[in-house]
Amino acid sequence: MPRAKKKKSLAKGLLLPGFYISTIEEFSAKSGAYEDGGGVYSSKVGLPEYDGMEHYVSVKPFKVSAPERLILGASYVGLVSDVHKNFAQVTIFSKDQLGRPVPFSALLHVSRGGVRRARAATELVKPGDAVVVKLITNWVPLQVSMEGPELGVVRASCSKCGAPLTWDHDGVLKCHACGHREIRKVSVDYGRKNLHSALIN
Amino acid sequence: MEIKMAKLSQEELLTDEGIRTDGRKIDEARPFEVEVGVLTQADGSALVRQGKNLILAGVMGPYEAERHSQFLDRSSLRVRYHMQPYSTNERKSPTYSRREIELSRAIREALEPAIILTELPRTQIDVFVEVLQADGGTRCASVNAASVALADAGIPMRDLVTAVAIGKVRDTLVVDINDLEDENGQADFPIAMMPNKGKITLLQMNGLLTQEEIKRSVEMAKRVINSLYTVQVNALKKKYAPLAASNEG
Repeated sequence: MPRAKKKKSLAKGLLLPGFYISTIEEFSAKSGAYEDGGGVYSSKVGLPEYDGMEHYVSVKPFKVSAPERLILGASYVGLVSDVHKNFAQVTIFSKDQLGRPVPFSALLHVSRGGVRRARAATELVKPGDAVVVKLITNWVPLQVSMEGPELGVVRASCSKCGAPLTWDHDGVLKCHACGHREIRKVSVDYGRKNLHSALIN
Repeated sequence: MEIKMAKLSQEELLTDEGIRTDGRKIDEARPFEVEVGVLTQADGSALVRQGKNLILAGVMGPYEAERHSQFLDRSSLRVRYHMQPYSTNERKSPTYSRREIELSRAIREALEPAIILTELPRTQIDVFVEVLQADGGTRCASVNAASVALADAGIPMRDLVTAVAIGKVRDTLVVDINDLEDENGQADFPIAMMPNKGKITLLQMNGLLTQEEIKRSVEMAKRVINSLYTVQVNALKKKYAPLAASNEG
C-alpha cells in the first residue's frame, strides 16, 4: 500500500481522480472520495467540501450519474412491469447527465402497498399501470412504497378490453367501455398526473 | 487485394546515431494531445492524438445492467474497441474481428482496477473506443482516451490510467513505438499504470525481452507515463477549471 504523502495544506480547487486531499486523521472520505494507504483521495472530477464538525470530506462532482440521482424519500413515476403474489416489480426513472430518463427496476412489497389487509400485490397494482412511488432504499435491490394518499396508481387500463380506467369510488376503477370494475391502490392524483412531463422533468 | 508492406531491417529502424524512422530519439514519445468532451450525447468522451493515432472514446452509463449481466455487488464494465475500415493502410473489414475482441478485453482489464465498481452495484458502464487512424500502439492510446472519457463521465475512479508501449529495435529499447517499429521490431511491451498509485494495470509482451530489459522497460515507461499523465490532467482541467472557478466564485 502506498503511504500517504505528507502535505501541510488541504486540497483546494479542482480535483481529479487520484488527487490527494488529506490524511485519514484529518478527514474521513465521504461521497466522491476514498481512503487508501492512510490518505484520502478524490475519485471524481469535482470540488472538495470539508465538514469540519464531523471531519468528513466529500467531492462534489460536476457530473452526477443516473443511479446517484436516485434520492431516498423522493417520489418517482414508475411503470409496473411484473406482479407476483408478495411483490410487484416497478420500473422507476432517474435522469442521466444529459437529462434523459434512465430506467431502474425496484421492488414494491405488498406490506408497503398502502392498503391494510392486502393479501396479494395484484390487489394493489397490475402490469402496465403507471404509479407514483416513494423510494425507501437507495441501495440494491431498490425498494419503493405506496404508503400515502398521493402515492399509488395514477393511470391504468382495463384488464379485459384495454380501455383507460376512470376513478369510480375509493380504491375502485371502472372501465367505461365494458363496465368492468377493478381494484387498485389509487392515488389522489389519479388521471391528473402528466406522466410525460413527470418522466422528463 | 492484400497490400504487403516492405519489411524494414533493424538498421533502417534505428540509425547508428540513435534516430528512429520518424526522427525521434529512443526515449522520445510521440506528440500527445487530449481533448475532453468532444461528444455531446455521450456521458463522457475524449479524443486522443498520439503521433498519427487518432482515437475517439465515448462512455455511456452507468445504467441498470441487463439481468443476465448484473453483478449484485458491483458494476460491470464493457469495452468495445473497434477500428474503422479507413484507419489502416489497407482496408480493414468493418466487422468485429478476433483481434478487436482480444484488445477490448485487454483495455477493459487495464481500466478495471482504476474504477471503483463496487460503488455502483447492478449497473453497467459502456466504453466505446473507435480507432479513426492507427499508427501502432493503439491499445495504449485507447486506454489513455478511455480513462479520460471515464473521468469525464463522472465514474468513480482511483486514478487515471495511462499507457505506453515500449519496443525493441536493433537490440535497443525504444519508447512509444509506431507502426513500423511494431511490425518490424524485436519486441512490443505495452504497459498501463495508475501514475499516482504507481501500480501497473496492464502488462503484455510480444517478442522477447531479457529480465534486465523488462526492468529497464518499466522504468522507461514510468517516465513517459508521467509526462502523458500531465497532458491528460491538463485536458481535464481545461474543460473543468472554468466550471470550478464559477462554482467557487
